[in-house]
Amino acid sequence: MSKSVYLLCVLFTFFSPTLRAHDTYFSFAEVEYNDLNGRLEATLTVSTHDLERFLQENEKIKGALSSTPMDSLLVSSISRLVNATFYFSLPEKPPLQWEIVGIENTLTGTTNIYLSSAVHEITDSFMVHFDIFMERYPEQQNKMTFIYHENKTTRVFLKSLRSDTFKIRPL
Amino acid sequence: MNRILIFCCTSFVFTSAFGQSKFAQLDIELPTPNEYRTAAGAPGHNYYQQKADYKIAITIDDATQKLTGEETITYTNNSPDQLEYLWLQLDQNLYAQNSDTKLIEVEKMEDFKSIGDVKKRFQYYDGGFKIDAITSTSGQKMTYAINKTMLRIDLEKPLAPNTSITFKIKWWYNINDRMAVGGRSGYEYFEKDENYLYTVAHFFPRMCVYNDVEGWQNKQFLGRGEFALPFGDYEVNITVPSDHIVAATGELQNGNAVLTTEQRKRFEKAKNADSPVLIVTQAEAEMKEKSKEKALKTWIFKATNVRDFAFASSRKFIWDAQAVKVGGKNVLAMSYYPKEGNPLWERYSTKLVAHTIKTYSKYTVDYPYPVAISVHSKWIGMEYPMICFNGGRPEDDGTYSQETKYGMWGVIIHEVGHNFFPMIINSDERQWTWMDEGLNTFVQYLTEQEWERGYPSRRGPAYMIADYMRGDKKFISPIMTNSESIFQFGNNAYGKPATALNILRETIMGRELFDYAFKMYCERWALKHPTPADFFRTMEDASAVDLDWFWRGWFYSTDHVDISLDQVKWFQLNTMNPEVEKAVKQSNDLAKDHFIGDDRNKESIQQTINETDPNIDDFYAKRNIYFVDALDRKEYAEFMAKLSKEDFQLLNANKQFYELTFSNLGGLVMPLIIEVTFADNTVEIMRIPAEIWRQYEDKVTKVFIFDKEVISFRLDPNLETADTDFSNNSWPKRVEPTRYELFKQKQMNGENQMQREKRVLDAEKEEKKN
Repeated sequence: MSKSVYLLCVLFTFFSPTLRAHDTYFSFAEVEYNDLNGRLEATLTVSTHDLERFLQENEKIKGALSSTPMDSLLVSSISRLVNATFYFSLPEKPPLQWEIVGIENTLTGTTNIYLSSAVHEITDSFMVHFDIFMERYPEQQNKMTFIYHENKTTRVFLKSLRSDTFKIRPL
Repeated sequence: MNRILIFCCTSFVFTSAFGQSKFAQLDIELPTPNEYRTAAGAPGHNYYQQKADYKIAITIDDATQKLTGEETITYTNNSPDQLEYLWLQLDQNLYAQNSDTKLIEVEKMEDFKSIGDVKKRFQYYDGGFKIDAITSTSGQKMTYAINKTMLRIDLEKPLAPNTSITFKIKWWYNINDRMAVGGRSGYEYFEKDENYLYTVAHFFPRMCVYNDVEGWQNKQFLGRGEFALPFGDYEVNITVPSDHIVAATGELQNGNAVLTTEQRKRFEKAKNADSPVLIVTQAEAEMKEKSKEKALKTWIFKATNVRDFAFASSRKFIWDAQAVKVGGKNVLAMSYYPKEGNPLWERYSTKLVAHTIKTYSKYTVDYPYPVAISVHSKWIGMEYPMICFNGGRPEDDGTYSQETKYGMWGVIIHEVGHNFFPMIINSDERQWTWMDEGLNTFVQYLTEQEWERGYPSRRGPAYMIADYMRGDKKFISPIMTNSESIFQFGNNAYGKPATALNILRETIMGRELFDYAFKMYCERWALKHPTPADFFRTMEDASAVDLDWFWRGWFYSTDHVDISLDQVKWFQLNTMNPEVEKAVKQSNDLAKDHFIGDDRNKESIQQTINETDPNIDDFYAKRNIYFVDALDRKEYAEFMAKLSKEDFQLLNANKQFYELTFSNLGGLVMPLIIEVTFADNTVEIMRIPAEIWRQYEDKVTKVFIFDKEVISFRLDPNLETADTDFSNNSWPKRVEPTRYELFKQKQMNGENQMQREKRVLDAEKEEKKN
């Protein structure tokens, strides 16, 4: 038996997600390695409604996202969420941190979060962890498409499969 | 470019073992037609359905948020079967402490990172029905058994065909705090004025469906697969604090007792108004928020031929109504909302209800009920007959973003639309979520587009489903999956079927055939219980379009659309005229790329041996291969003599031949829709039916013949097939930008436009001051 100590850091309000109707429970990421600047560039698409609920209950940021000033509080709140739930790990290195380049709300109920990583070299394989909103919504399913030199690989992430390894095809 | 000689003398008939999977007719997948449901998809000559009539009296205690009730159910067995027992649904037991819903949730230690997560696990809410008694009309106790969310009443003697039984149930339960516990119904507490807003549903033991398909539909309620309910007549007495306004399924029977004279006057005016009339104003509602009456009043509602009953009650309600004409009669569209819903709700809700009822009636069946109600209920959207609970709340400062506005519009259209699917066309939600959510989302899309040109619909257009459909198939479910087992509920049961129907309408069948068949399905099954097979069969039967491949691909498989344009070959006809063909050959040869060494040698080698020695060049070296000789002319003349005038014209028409090769990478067969751009920059769309894949499912070729040269081909130019990868759709190849690249130019400032407008006004005031 292994004994772990968990950080008790965030207070959630009570909520039983399976009792709600009509939610999306879906996030999608499109990530490309940019050879020119050596960075991963990503677009993370989440349900605006889910993101607003998260911000309201965990960061005390109330109201519609599109009515909330895009200040450092909001950006750092979303940055914490993203970096804790969507990250790339290269062998023997700490997870890459994302910097938020932009946040865009669409009229169709999704929010695009544009991300850029620090400069690093692409490796033959890397691990991706992608479990945004899974703690809150058991049915959450996330999907990521990785693009490298026009080759596309798409993987699904579930509550029971939160991490996966991507291998780069030889050029 | 190649020049070809064509003599078509033989046609090959390929027989293939391939093609029997994607284009095989649906056979074992569908139930055998019978006297209850025909092969055409219509109700059979012996179709039957049960009837459940209710007389209910309930009271809400506003101090404790407890609901107590008593109901008399008259159940009529119209089936040819004897029923030894009856099954009822106890949906509130979803919240019981022993509920399976909590037990079956997959968990990992990662889910317990915070103290909040741990507290959530130990959360206590004393939910679930407390059944006090089940008795016959004479007061005799009846034997019953409760299995989680299902209640079985054992009958002393079987209920014979075409007979009825009447019995009574007394119960109570604690209404859930919807904002804390969640749920489709419950109460919201408004801390600022210390008032409650109740949106109440599944509040009484409800009869299960018994039919020719399932027997008793008594699959446990686990929280996702919604409801299967028989039709019946309801008379419901709702006792609440006397200053509450109650909205409910059905028509109010005692307006004189519960409404003021002024309210009744306004109500009568609304019955013929073509825009919303306020029956309770915001000022009146705000007054009541402060007083909090202790006395009680009973509101009485009656509803005929409905499958369920729900209501909402609060002293906070503002209430407006207008008439909408459907099928020659007036329907009353109404909205109930607290002041927190304004200014959005007073401006839009009732108009949206009216528009939805009218538009859905056009595409499906005339709305048969007297009222249609939208109640404001933060965060959720949930539907019941004639009444639904909808989110869409402005900011505290009274502004709202475009996203909030469209979110509110969308949820009202969707939930009011549910009156048609499944309240009127009464499918089994417990088994097939897509039959109501998918069909409803499709008509929602049509309704949104008729509300505002270019409405940003969330679901419906084909390209919007692509992200969901690509990727690992292990974690995607076919649409034909039981509601509880679906991966990705929203995309699977709402988005994908709505997209599929849109594709049928726009691309496969065409609007005229589709609309006729879809309306036929709705008319056949209005106020009845359809199954998937009834829908599939009607759509084919009423249109003469073989759709088995489409149902198989879109509803029974997890294939996605990724058709690749692999190769383009260009040909022109060989005219056989030596004057033409040899000149073409000379021109082509000159246009060929040169080896650099040959070019440099022309300058660096002053003279070669054969240029100085005349004896070196023989016949072959001296021959001009581009010269047209007498034999060439003679052979051409002989060839021409065999040609008819039409053959000659065709040969010299300068037709351009393009052989295109397509691969089906995603597995889902779809029509080939190809945009052709010619050298003169004109554009033509070619449409090849999906049946081109019927024998060769993985790769096909097709020859296109044009009068002009082509400069590019592009697959799916109008985004109508849900193709998941556009990078392989074009010739010459186009590089598709990523979303990140598209964003790079954009800037966001993070305030809604109404907030900006306020700042503009402030700035203008400041300018004037200065």
